[in-house]
Amino acid sequence: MAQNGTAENGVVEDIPALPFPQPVKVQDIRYTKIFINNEWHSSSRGRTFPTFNPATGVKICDVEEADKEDVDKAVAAAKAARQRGSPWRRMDASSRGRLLHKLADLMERDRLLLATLETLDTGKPFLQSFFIDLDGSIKTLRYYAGWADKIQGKSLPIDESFMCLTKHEPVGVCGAIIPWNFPLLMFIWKIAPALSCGNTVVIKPAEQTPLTALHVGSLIKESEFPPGVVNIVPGFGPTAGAAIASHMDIDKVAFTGSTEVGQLIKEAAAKSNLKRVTLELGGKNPCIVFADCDLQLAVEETQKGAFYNQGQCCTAASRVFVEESIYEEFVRRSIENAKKIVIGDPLDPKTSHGPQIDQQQFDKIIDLIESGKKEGARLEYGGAPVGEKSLYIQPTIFSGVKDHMRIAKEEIFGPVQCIFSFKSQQKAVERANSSQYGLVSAVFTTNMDRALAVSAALETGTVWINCYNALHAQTPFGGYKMSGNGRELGEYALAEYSEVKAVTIKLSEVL
Amino acid sequence: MLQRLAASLRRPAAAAPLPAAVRCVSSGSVEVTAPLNFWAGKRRNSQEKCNKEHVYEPATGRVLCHLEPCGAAEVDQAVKAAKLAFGHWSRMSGMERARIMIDAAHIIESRREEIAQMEVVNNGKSITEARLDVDSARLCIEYYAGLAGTLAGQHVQLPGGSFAYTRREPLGVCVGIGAWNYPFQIAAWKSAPALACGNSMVFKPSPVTPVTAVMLAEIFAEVGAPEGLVNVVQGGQETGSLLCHHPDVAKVSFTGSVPTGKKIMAMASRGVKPVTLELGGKSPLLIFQDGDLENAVKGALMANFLSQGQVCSNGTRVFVQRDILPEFVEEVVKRTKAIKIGDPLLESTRMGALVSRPHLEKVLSFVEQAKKEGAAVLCGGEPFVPSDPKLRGGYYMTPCVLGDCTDEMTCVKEEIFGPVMSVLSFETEEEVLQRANDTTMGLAAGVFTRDVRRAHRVVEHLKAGSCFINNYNITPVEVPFGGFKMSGIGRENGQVTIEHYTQLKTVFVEMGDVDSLF
Repeated sequence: MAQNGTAENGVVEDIPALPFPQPVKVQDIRYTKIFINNEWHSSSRGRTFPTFNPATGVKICDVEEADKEDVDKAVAAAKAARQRGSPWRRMDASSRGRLLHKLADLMERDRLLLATLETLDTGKPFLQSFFIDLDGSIKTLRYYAGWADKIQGKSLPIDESFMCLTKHEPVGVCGAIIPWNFPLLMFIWKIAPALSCGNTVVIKPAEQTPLTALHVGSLIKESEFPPGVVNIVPGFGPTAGAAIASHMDIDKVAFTGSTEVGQLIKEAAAKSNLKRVTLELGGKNPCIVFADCDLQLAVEETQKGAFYNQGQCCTAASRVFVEESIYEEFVRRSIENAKKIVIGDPLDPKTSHGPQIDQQQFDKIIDLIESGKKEGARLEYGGAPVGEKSLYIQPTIFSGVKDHMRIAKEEIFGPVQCIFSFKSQQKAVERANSSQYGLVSAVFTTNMDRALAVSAALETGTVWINCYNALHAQTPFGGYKMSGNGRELGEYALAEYSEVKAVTIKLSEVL
Repeated sequence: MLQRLAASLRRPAAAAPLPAAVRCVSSGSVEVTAPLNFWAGKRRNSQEKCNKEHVYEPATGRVLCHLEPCGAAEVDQAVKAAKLAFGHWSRMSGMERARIMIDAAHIIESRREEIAQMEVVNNGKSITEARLDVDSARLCIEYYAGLAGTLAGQHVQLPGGSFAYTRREPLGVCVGIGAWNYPFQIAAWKSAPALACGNSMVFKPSPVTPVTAVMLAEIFAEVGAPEGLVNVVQGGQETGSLLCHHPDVAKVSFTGSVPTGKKIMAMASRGVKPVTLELGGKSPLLIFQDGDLENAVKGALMANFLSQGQVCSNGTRVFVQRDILPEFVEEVVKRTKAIKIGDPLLESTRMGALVSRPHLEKVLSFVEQAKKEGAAVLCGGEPFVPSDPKLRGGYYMTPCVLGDCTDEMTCVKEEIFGPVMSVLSFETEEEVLQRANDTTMGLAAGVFTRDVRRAHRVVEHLKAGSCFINNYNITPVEVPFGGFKMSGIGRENGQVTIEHYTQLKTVFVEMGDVDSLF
């Protein structure tokens, strides 16, 4: 596992030794407009929206707001860019790969700036931006750069005197709507496989975090992607997002975000033009910790799973089931471990825990923490905001959590670890599976038979054994049940961005 | 042996770095003094000084440098270095290996002109073709770099929750033995898939063209590959034999003639080592009367005269349907006569010098033999002496078209490996297929027709590994290349080559109790 480098969306296995990379001074934000046809456009309706630094509450800048008219323009550009005979359609597959490598090179060049922008806009600790988000983004680009000229069909033996060839062709114009928790990484997870397969893209970053996507827009232009291949429309879900989901000229939409919005998107896709849909939605992810596990490893991994990125991960380890015989010791060690977390300025390399993204999320998390206290869970650690008038919340641990409580059922999307106890393996698996979600799960045990048996029984798209948040460009990622449709990353994602055409040829039997 | 020609020429901006081009190399002026062996990160001399051989510049016939063949001690050092590098390289992730390979590709791109010029000086082919060869080498490395991160096994579900999975693991130290017609490109075609899969390489170029393979090894060292990842040992048959017999060599990949291929397979069999063999051909090109004549003529020229005709996949048996034979022959002869022969370093030259004096004489003797057996020389087939005095000693000949050929003639049966096209006529599809397949070799074949049903029906019956419909000698690196019958074993290029540079490990995992019979 270590050979594959750091976990993309998760825990850095080893932050390199000093000197740490340092954030750069950002004087002014250069890219704040709508990116269409490799050009910067103002909002059609003449509107802008502010984006804030969650660590300070200070406005960073105003960004041009895209609405339906701007989405129309972007889609027209994307459609023109994929017309038969266009430079992008005529380009060799290997040249598409070279362009993706070029973009990765430029992101490496601007890595410090991108990591700084990401931290300013999201509040996530700088070293995590630098080592996890940027590393994952660059590797994902390079991985799909390699696939570009290996997307190939088959030649099929079929009955009678026919022959059949299959061709994998791009779907067309791909819409993408991405969240604020991993703005840059999600941007790349969407565009890299789409471009590798030869599609064009219209992508909407989250309104809270548009800055890194727009900077990458400038790098896309610098890499000399043909105009219209990638178009970026910063804006809000109900306006720009809805316009993408229901657009008649978008052939596919990929969404990462909440399950409720995912349902709206699938509905809009169905009612408009039956566009293809892939969804990466929420989770209420179970970890099952057996008495025969490496206890310290289980404590550290499950806690990193719960608190990483201030708990704002669809993969957050929000339900930790611990076998009764080690329960008390597990809780005790989890509290000890939580004391090591350093809350502070996200730009400071020592900081490991930053603010939540905005007031709305902050209020929702505090409400759920209060419900946990009221419903009788035992608050072991944290459980309150940090200071006044800030968006920081203390890492919070509840023990004695019961399955009926709100904190056991609802996705909190904040730094709250809920610890349950269990007696039998069978019951633990049943409780783990009794959720509408099925994104990820984890098993901690040193018994390989048990690990494999339990992993076979868990109803989730990913099962981690003795690790957590181990995501890699090569590994497919996606959910069972209401956690989503389709898969991202790995070779599997190529299928989500391709149409298969069967070409059948009648041969005559005589020579 | 071209990546799509048009595509290569369409991309001049990306592919023509200028600084190297202003070096202004000219034929007869280049000195090669640095040692040509390379292992453990350095160019090295061989201790076997007594066996020094001359290496010539085909364009002028002058001695370019001396070959220092490697003996047992040198081969052993190179294999040891490769074995050590394998330990590091095979443990790196595919993505990490890919990064180093991409860096190497960037350097090849920036040194394109310099490498192409050295290839011309040592091989005699035109600079225009040499540049495309360097591009093909680079594309191949980029292609396999992309594949390095995607290697995967399978997971097989079995009853009772038990399962098996497979791991795709590298072989170890792989030996590549190259031919003299595409020295740099073959070195890349062999090392790129080997390295992508986690193997290391010891490469032996042909003793006639030792100059450019070592540049590839140097480039890999320059971009931070583990010391000893790519090594080059020079020498002929004896050195090759030492490599094939070495106990620490896991695999041999060879490009060259059928007789040498057989010897290599026999030597490798003593150590039960897998082999990839890309050998000769006597490939047929079928031109039906409903084919586009203009394209068919161009295809026939591409099938015979690239690299002075020294191409294993050449379509040297051109079968033309009777009704269009006169028209076809007239046009082919006209264009063959117009091919500009001369200094291979000049942009306007389309055909350079053959690789060596003995080889030129052998090709000319095939033409003499054809005359004796009743073929008509429609054009060419004579030694050619350029007007430039410094080129007088070069190995040039005029490209030749032979008419009135029949299936029994030597020129139709044997691989000439020079610019000699044999034209035959046929009447029916059935007849031409039978004649086309009547050979012990099966590397490539082509068909020109406008009837899509005929095209696919004919290729289905052709016994050849690489078939072309309405084109010839196009070798994109995405596409597998290799022969049927005695033209070889295994494939190069494309995803399938992964199979030839990895081995599968199957892991069975029992989830229940052991059912013992005892």
